[in-house]
Amino acid sequence: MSKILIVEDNEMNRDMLSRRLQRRGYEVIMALDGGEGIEMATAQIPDLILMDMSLPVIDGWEATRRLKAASTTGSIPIIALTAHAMAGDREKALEAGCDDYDSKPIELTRLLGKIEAILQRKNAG
Amino acid sequence: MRAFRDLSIKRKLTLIIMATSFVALLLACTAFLAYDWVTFRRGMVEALSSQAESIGINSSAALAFNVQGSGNEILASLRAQPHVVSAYIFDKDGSVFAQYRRSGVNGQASAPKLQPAGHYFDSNYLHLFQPILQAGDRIGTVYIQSDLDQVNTRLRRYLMIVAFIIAAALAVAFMFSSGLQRVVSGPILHLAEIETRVHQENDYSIRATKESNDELGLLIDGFNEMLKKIQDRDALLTIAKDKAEEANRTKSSFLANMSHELRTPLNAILGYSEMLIEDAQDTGSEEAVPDLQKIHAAGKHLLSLINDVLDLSKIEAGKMELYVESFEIPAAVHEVVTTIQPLVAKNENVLKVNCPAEIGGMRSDVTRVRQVLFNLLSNASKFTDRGVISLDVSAKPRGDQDWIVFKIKDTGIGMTPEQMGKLFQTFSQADASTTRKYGGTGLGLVISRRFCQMMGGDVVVESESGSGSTFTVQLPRHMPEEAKAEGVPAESEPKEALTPQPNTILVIDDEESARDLATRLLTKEGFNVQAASSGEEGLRLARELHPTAITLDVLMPNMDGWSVLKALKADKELADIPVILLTIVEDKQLGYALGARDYLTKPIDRERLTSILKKYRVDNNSHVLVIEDDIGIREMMRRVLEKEGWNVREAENGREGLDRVAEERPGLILLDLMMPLMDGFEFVSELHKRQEWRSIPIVVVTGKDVTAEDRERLTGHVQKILLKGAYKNEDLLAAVRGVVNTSKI
Repeated sequence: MSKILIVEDNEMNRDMLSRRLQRRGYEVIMALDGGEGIEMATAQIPDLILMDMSLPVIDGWEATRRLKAASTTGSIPIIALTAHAMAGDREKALEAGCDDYDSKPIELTRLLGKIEAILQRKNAG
Repeated sequence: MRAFRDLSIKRKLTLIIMATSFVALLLACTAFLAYDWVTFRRGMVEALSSQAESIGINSSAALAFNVQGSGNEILASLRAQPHVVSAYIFDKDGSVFAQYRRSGVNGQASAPKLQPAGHYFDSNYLHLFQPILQAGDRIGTVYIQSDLDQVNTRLRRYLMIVAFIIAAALAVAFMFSSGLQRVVSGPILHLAEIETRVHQENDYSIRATKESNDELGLLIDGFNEMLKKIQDRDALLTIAKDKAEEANRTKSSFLANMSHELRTPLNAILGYSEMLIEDAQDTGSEEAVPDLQKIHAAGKHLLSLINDVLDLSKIEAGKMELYVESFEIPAAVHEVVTTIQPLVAKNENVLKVNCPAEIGGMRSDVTRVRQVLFNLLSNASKFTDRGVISLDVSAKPRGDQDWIVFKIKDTGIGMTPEQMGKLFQTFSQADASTTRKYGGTGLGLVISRRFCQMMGGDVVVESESGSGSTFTVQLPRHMPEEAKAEGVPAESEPKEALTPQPNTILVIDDEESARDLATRLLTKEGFNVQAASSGEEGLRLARELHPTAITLDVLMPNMDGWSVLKALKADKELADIPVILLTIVEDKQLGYALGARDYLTKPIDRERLTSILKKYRVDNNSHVLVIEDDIGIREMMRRVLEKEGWNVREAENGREGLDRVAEERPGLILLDLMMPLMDGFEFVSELHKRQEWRSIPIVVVTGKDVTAEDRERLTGHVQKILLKGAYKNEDLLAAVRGVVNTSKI
């Protein structure tokens, strides 16, 4: 059972995403802001992180950079989620070290495809 | 005449005055000369006839006795008259009785034909015939011929005098007119000069000075009145324009914000309805599924409408940015085709795609290209029933550019020329009933076209009502760099109002005087200053203007400076704008600004200290770190704290404080701001560099007076600290409690 960390400040988005992922058999842990996200990722080492980019305290870009820079969390794949759906966001997310990118509103099938692809790649590697 | 018309007023007036004087003088002189000439000639005739008369009287005896020699002698007396050229005396029968001819003069060669009494002039001579009467009988005639030298000489002399008088008079007239014409030309020239200045300086507050109450005075009054009206109207127009621009900005940002705000709850609707569908399918309550699907579909439709509005408002505000990258055309087309398939199938249409693999790649904004194709294909699907929709992609060199042409053809309802005319206008579909039948905002085509224009191309349409439409998208294979800038449509709102200008300072202050002062000061320094009278307005302007820096008043009604600062720092686009705080802050806010949980003022009120401690007391195991350089205060605090059951550790300054924190994490920090070595400000910013220490609650202990220097240092730190943590109070409180709790475990 893969463990996914959702870092998302919006309660409803968090709730929806976590329940839908749990329904599909993932273990889900949640953080409300970038700082908490880093702490949780460091403490629990999830298999994958879904990171909202506009977060309080430390935003998603910065949190990703820090996680990728740390030795303990550097190998955890991160999928960036942004509400802006701007073309440049994807590049920016990849630049920050994200492994993939998806735009909000979340289309679950699409996101699940990305999650599966990354987890498979990770397990194979 | 033409040359005269183009002369200056001055010259014209001078010329007119001189011409008039000249004509008047000339007329006067001519009349005078003519009169003199006539009088003089009459005098000549009279003198000559009296001479002839006396000759007649003297010669009557000689004539009567026919003594010829005597007659000649009498005539010889005319020698004294130099102008007499010749003279004759005729007898009764008309034969020459006596004659005289001045020697050396070619006068009359022979005797003239006798004529009755009288005189006549020919060109050179005066001829006079005078009868000689004796007792009433004519016994002979005297004829005298005189030259006109006298008259001519006199005439010549007079002409010279006249010429001299005219010349002298004209000279005087010129001098007078040059001076006097100013009376007329002066005000006109003044008026002309004022008009030029108004025109050149675009300053309608200039007024012409009136110097007389004549028609020119009226003209100047009229001119001034007109300027005043223009000035008044300009002022009104400026106000109206400002208002309109303001309204427009408000509209744009309202649309953008609103669209964003609308999407958030919509996300929940979409997500939860999807979950309910899954739930319903799992639990076997299939009958709910179609209804839930309708909710979901309606939500998705609403989302697409909101996205359209957001796109359009961004385009119109000039905020839409393109992300240009290289991509493979067949792959992009394939992606669109896959997405559109369900929509094509809905009306039982068939989609034929012709996209040769060898067409290769292009450099443009792939997201926008896909969006345009999707929009055109979804329109084609909507307006076609059981028909054929085709998408043809081809490359076409044109000029020195290679163009990619996407042709979307359907066999649907088509359009009349009138409908086609309205096609690319904002908020207009072919007609209102279309909206009801087919849905949509009518924005899709407008947006598609604007996108194409931004990418350096365009969309054109051919259609016939009843037999389908063809939309042709043409895009350059390599999007030109300048196309982005040109792409913003000409009819879009005044862009300069929304584009960031270099060196723009945003002044946010509720006090008008303070605002004016700052504006004046900064404008003088060459900055472009924009002022906002409230926090809300300030935020709005900050988003629109992206100023170089912001000066911010802390104490404002409704939304205070701290809230503004928080909002600024929370906005990714605005977070980097340096903020300068302009007013002294209250201690409480000062404390919060530092990321402190609470504050205390010196001298310390014991009751307040204990109540604060109670607030943070979560357990007895964690300790309180007191960082304070004054040993008296430190001891006092220790006593109070220990009495309350806390373990206390002490530090004399910030550096020592950091060491203590590193040794063992405290549950609470009481922090003095003014300390040697490392003060409170520096301590907080150092402490916050360590992620795991950020959640330690800090209570700032401060003296009432904060100096200007401290304030300055504070503002620097405020910026830094809030940049990292723009949190709500409750959030922080919760976080603190959480941290203190976990530290216990």
